[in-house]
Amino acid sequence: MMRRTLLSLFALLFASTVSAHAQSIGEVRAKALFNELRCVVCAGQSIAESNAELAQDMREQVVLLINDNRSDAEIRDWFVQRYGDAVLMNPPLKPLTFALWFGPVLIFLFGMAVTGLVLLRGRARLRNKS
Amino acid sequence: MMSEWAHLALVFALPLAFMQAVIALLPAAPMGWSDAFRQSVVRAVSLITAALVSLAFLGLVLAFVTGDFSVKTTFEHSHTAKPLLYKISGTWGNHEGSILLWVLILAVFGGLLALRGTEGQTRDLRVRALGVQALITLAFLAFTLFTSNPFERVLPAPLEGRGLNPLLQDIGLALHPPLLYFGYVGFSITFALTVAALLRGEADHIWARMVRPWAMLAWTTLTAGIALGSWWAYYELGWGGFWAWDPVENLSFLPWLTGTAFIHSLMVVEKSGALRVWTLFLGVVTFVLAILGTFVVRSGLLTSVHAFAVDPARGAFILLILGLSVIVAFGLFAWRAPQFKPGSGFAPVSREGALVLNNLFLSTGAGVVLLGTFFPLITEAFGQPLTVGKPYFDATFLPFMVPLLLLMAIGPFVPWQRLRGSTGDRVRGLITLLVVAMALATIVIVMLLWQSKPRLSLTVGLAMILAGWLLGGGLLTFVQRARAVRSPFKVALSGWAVSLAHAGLGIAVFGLIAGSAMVQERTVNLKPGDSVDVGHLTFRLDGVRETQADPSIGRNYISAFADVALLTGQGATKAILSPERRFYPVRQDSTTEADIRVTWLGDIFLAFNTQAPDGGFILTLSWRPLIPWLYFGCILMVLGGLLGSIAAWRRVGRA
Amino acid sequence: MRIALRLAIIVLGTVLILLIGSLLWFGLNPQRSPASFPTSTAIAPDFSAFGQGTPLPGYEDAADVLAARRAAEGPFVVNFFASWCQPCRLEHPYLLEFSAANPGALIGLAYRDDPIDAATYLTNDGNPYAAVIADTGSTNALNFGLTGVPETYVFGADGTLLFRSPGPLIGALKTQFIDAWEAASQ
Repeated sequence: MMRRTLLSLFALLFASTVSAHAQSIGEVRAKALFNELRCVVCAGQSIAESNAELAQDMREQVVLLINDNRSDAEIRDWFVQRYGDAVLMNPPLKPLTFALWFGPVLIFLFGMAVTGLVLLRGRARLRNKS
Repeated sequence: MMSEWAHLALVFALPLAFMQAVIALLPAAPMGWSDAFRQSVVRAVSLITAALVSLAFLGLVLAFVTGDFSVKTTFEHSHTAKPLLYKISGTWGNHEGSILLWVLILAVFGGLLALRGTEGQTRDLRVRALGVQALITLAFLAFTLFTSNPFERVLPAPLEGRGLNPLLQDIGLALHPPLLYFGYVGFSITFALTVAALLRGEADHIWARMVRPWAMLAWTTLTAGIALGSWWAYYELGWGGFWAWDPVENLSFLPWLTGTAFIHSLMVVEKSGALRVWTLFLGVVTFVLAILGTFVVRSGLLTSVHAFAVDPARGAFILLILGLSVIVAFGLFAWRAPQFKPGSGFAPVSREGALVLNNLFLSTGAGVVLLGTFFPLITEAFGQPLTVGKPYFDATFLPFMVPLLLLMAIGPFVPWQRLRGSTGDRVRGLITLLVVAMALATIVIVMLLWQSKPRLSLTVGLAMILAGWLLGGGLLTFVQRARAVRSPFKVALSGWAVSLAHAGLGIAVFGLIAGSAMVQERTVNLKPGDSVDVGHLTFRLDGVRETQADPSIGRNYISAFADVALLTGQGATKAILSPERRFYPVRQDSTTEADIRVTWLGDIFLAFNTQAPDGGFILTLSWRPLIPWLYFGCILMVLGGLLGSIAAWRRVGRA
Repeated sequence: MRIALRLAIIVLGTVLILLIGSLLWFGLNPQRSPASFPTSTAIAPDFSAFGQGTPLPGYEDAADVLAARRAAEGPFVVNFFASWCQPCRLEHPYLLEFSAANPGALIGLAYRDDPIDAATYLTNDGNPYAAVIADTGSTNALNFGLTGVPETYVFGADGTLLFRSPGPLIGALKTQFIDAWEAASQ
């Protein structure tokens, strides 16, 4: 009988926190990073939400890297180097994604302009009438 | 045999829908018919089509219930050992059946539109709308018959079906798709009425009154459908997430956003005739987005956890329907819109002005969600795959919702242009509202503080005040309406509707904030006897027990339950929770079934992840404050929507 | 003025509809697999960490994958497999064929597999690998940006990634693999 799935470094590492009363900083950081990395076998979920084996591997890797004193940015880079930009749930800001990141502001500015026009014309009609 | 009749009924509905469209949309009545006669014919045909499609659907339901496995859909998705409820819901739990449900709702709504009165002024509008509705029905009937015929045969007929998947036997899963479809398809009627108004070249207050009950009803069911989907994800999927910004979720949210804008701008059209061009635009866009949602889901276009059978031919067909509706509707819009007379004027600070801002934020939100959802497809087309996930949407969508929610509480107090009062009232009203908001937020925070040690921050505090502002706005709206008629029992239905919907959203926002920002969660490795603190709660693992698979009752998995005791401060056991881990030997796959204890201040949420090599058990233990409020708020919103639909229904046809 | 506006709306609308329509049409392309993670060859596994793992019982002689990687003078291939993985069995005959034609070029890593199970699999079905270990702790899998098993990587002699097959080497992926291998061997 194979013993896959059983090794969860993540839990082993935090086994020591049992009955302790506060979460360690590493635990909080790991949790945040889990939400930022995409599980590569599960259609758009983050590794925090998936029980897939590769997601477990990735979670363990995150914990290993945290214990290796890497910063959050370094850990993200570690995964990007090996999986490409698509591994990030939050796409990085670069020329390719300018439209994505600045789009919402542009949409809003356009909407503001139209709204302003509508409000001004509404007021103009009101004045013409009176 | 029965299935043959059902199939035949569906086939006959096709030429009838075609006939209905032709007769209704011809510029002049054919063969010297009078307009009244033409309307009678169109209404009759519309009712017959609705009856035929209902027969077809009933036939399919019966095939599922009686286990007629000569029908391919039944063979693949049903089983004699299924409970009756899930045999029935199995009818729409698959592609073919769900598309037939689409067509059913389309045809039945068409029939309902035909049934409602024959007021002289709206006759012309109604006939044209029935024509447009017939065109949509025709398109989806053709889609059903040519690409996804639910009545295809398997010969010789098998004795037993293959559809006994216990994972799919779930009440949430049974109700979620029909509610969403009611919402989507409800907007087909508003679309038909919008196109009819464009054809006619006029959209006055009578038109707005005709559209509103349909828009309200569609909005209500869509709200219920989305909320139920979220509830299901939270309670059944066991990851503690209630909204993941998954493409399929986003695509149901898009018509909700524009639909919400639509029901609000319709009020302006009804009251003062302003914003009619914009409202017509929303009427078209909302239904187009609903078809887009169906298209993406049915063609597997975007990466989503919601897996559906993918067939490019089906996708191409819906793309064709989508393309035709977009080209025809927007072409007509571009042609006719400039001809519409502007309505009466209004000052920027008036109900009209407030609703313009409501529309600004809702449309911006819809634009942002649309951009984020389709952006990965765009970059992929250029060979640069990307992921756009939850963090992006949280960062870009939520900022536009804050001003919307701020405005939403005040909106109902701002008088319409023709009823404008003094400024003094307004300032006093604002101060009252602010005080109420702070008070409500304080009460909620104190309740949580008294009960636990929540993670508080300035942002959370401000967000709570925002939710309190919203809830207070809803409550004060009711107070104001009650004072105007001098009795809370005489408040009009529409007053109840707006108060409930707005207060409901306020309560839901409390749940949303606490459920995402104040969650206390830990994943720990426990051995039997170990105890651990999560927030104010103390848990102790008592032990783990296993149950074997029992295929005779459809349980094809081995379960391991972790019995976790919830302890009181004195160490006594208050309750036992048993999260479950299921192992499916055939698929070599395992799933987690969370155990959730719902309390009125929050959920205790336990999941059993796995066994550790050192013999311990890895559990995720969490305290999720105010999550039940999220769904309670949604229920209030749906109630408000229902009352609003009834109120709007009563106003139809009034001059 | 009104006509100009109308024209502008129509022109803009047509362009938008065409753009969005072609995008959605592109989305319908059956070659796309939106459910799978987009694999990239623009990644660089860290070869200094290559080969941490557990030898398979009975295959201890062939456990030094790093040595095998150095011994391969030309291009080489890294293949992730597992005894529990059904699609791996589909490509297994071809892997045997490939290693017979290119001795020393194929390195195997058993992903999330028990060393005993993996060894049994190779003994029963034949061992195509010049060197093979069990990837304990999935260190190599993450290092290679693995997206599932089986997955196969073709490296040039200098260690640059030339091609990867995110699935079994059958059908179109096999053809692409053969092309990539021939191009690399020249």
